[in-house]
Amino acid sequence: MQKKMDKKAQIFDLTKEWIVWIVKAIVFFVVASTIIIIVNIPLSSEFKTDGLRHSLLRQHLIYDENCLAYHNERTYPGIVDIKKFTQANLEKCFSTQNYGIQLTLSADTLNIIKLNEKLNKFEFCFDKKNFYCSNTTYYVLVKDNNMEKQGTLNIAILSLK
Amino acid sequence: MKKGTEELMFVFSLILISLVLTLAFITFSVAGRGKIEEKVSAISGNEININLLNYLRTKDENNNTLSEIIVYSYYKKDYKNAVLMLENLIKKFHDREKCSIYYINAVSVKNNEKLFEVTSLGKANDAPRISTFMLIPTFDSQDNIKINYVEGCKNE
Repeated sequence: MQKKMDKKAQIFDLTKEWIVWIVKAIVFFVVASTIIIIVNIPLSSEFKTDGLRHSLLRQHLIYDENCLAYHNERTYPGIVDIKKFTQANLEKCFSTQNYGIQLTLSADTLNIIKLNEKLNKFEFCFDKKNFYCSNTTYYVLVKDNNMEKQGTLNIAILSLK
Repeated sequence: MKKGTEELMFVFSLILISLVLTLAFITFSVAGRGKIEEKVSAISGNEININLLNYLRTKDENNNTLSEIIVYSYYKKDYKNAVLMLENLIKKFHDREKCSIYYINAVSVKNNEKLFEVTSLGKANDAPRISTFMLIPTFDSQDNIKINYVEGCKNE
């Protein structure tokens, strides 16, 4: 009888321990999952920098004396030197293969230059799912042989997402 | 320590760890976000600088720049010519399709008095606003004319 009682008590102790371990395991699982989720949130959140990159590229074109900015003793950002608005000069100042650019300078006449034909051989921004496109128009002054003309410069940039 | 208390401590310590981590994550993500947004908007502000700068250095038929006309108007207390020239420039060259909202005003820095303003007539929309300003010096060393420029452009 005593032996039977001892065995019953042993089984009860074992079951109780099992239940405690199950509770521990559940809590551990919940905490571990929470930590994994917390760590993964910033890793999976996407910080889109396409707009920022395009903005910097546009500013590079406008502010840099090696690109479009007029230079006479000092650089004049925003004043476009018409002599610099050539395919050869712009290809030299903008040598990346990851962006397609179309520059449209409209003063007395309309001048269009396309850079990196590989990316912009199609109609600009034809596929907004796979490409990120930006299109910005600036009011510029165009320096042409000591004459200053008013005009607009449209810069359209296309890059792969 | 009793076994029951020990187990309870284990469970509570796990919960505490997860709470501390959550709090740290929230603190860092909230603190970091503001700084990133500030830098992005500062770069966008650089872009409309060019428009304002070029408006101000545009010359009229008498070879006076708009900024010179504004200073001249400041002493005459009559901004009709400056406003007319600015309105014509915006009408001709501003990209209304993308940036339907614009607001330009001139303020005297000395007494914060508004001198003139030119604004778009369109209804206010949700387009994000970018702003910049430039200071035009006057002959009064105590005073400058502050030109504020705001554009509201559609996102691409």
